[in-house]
Amino acid sequence: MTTVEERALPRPPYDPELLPMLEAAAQQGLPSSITPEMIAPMRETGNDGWAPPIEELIADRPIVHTERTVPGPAGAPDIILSILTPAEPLAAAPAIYHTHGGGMIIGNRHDGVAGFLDLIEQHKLVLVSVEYRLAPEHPDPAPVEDCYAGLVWTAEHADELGIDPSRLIIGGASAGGGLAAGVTLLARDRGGPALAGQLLLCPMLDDRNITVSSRQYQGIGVWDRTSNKTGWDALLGEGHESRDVSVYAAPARADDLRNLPPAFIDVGSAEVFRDEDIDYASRIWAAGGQAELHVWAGGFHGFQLMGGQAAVSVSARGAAEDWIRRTLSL
Amino acid sequence: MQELLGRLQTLDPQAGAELRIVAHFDVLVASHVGPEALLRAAVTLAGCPAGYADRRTVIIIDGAGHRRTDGGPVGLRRSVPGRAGACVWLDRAGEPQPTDEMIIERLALAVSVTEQRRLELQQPLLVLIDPDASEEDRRAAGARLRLSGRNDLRMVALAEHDPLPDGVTGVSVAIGPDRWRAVLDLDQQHYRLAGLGVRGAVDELPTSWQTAVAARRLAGRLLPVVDAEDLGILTTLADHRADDAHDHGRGRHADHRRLAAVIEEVPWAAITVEALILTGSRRSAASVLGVHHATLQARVERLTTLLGYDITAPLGNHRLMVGYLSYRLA
Repeated sequence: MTTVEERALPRPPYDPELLPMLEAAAQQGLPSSITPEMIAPMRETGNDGWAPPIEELIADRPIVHTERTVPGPAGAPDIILSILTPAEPLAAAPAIYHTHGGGMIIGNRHDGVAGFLDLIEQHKLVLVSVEYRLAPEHPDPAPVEDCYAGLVWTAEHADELGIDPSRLIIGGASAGGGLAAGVTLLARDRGGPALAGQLLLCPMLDDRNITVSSRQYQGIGVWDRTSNKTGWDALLGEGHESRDVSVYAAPARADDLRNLPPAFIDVGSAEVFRDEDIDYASRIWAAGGQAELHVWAGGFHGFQLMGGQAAVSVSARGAAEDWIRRTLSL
Repeated sequence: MQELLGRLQTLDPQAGAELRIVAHFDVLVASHVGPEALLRAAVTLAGCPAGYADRRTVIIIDGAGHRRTDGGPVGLRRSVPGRAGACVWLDRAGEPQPTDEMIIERLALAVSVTEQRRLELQQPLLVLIDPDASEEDRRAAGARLRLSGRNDLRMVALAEHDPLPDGVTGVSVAIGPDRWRAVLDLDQQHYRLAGLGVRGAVDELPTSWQTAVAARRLAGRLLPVVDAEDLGILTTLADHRADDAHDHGRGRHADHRRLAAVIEEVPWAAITVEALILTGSRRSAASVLGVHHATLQARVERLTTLLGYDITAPLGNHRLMVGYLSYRLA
């Protein structure tokens, strides 16, 4: 519950240039506070409203989209992978394994792919986007294990997919960033695929809602404190805050952040995830790892994914693309 | 959530798109962004480069959101209202889109409003004395003049042709049909004829200006420099001036109207009343005016007859003072 005190917390303002996008988001059915009963109707709107099919995104670009059904985790259903390949592919291309966002509760593998199309076209990257099962119907560990199974299959079939396995990074935004971080931990601990990097865009890492920023944004912006509780409760069940939970579901809980591939972490200064994302980068550095952290002034949650040419959006996209180029030696 | 904005563009029917264009620019204008941010919004909405040019500046935002300085007006152009020689444009390479006209229209209007505001800010003093200025404009103006933290600030009001001390400039301000000169008194200049406002912090400059004008209205031959801090509550006698402007003084008190008529008819009335008020005694008033005591006595009796009350009685004396101040402040 929100107390009067929490509402009164001071907080960084939004970048004025981003305000029209924030208002458009609110008017188009993306309320600040998402509660459990809103999940089903949002999925219906989402299918038609903000997740254009990959074919539509590709339009007449020289990119080929194929779908593969591959084995899921042991004892679980198969999963679908969307594979985007340049029309004239390289023999061994750098690749991005993509985990979509949506708070663990909504969205599909088409979400967020649009942001990578230029890179695929310019640098002949291959992109693999995984359709993982969603909470609350499929609580932890279903989502992260589906994502991991898809990564293992992708790495094992690198030759067939025309992927250079030494130049494979994982990336995702919001819940997809949290899943990417969780899959990276899984790959380390199980001796799985060797990832060249983890691209964590405004990642959802901490189920506990205990940071200052998690208290600053309630009833305002995109993905507020209430939405965050809705997402985590769906994934982990109520009461998770005071229980031990899997570090692969909530990577902020991981004590050991050693031996991870280089991370790119970005986040808005005006969103719930700000402090947990900064903390994750700090702890990677403390453990001797490499991380690049960008905190974009006045950014609301997901601003960098919404397109548009606001100055801070252009800078945020540029920084992420630049890191991908450096990390994959493009 | 990703690519929400771009998706909305393609889904919106024409009418919805136009509403959204209007709202987009309205939000930006309300949050006081500059011309570059407005161009970025146009690029976001139109998906093609946009530019602004006036006699000194060219700003071009390309389709990827990067700023260019080379080039000039091309494509769909619109002049910026109120800015001679300034124009904005949309540089669409292919087929014109149905919303292009709307976007260029709103862009031109938004640039016009923000440029106007910027010009006003170039005279920060005008902003600081405007009781209706926004908090944000006031802060920006105060910062430009480096006034924050001071609480000894005061405005000085001069009539249009009052002599200015050396090195003092100030800005010209219209009040009704009259022009005044507003001076921010930072170094306690010596004025020959002026109204001094009450002292305070930067937020209180509108009040300081208001009281300075009242003080200047009371200044005259006998008391050329009037300090509002000596007047106290008496400066509020001027507050009804604006209301009265509509009915040419008919709404004023009968005392005020009668005194005004007497002053108009009797050449010595104004200076005599002023001397009586400022000195507090008939003897001193006669001395200040350089007239014989008997002459002054005759004038007092004549005024008592014309005004209809005994101006030498304690209450009548105050009544005369308030009536006279009200007349001078009008």
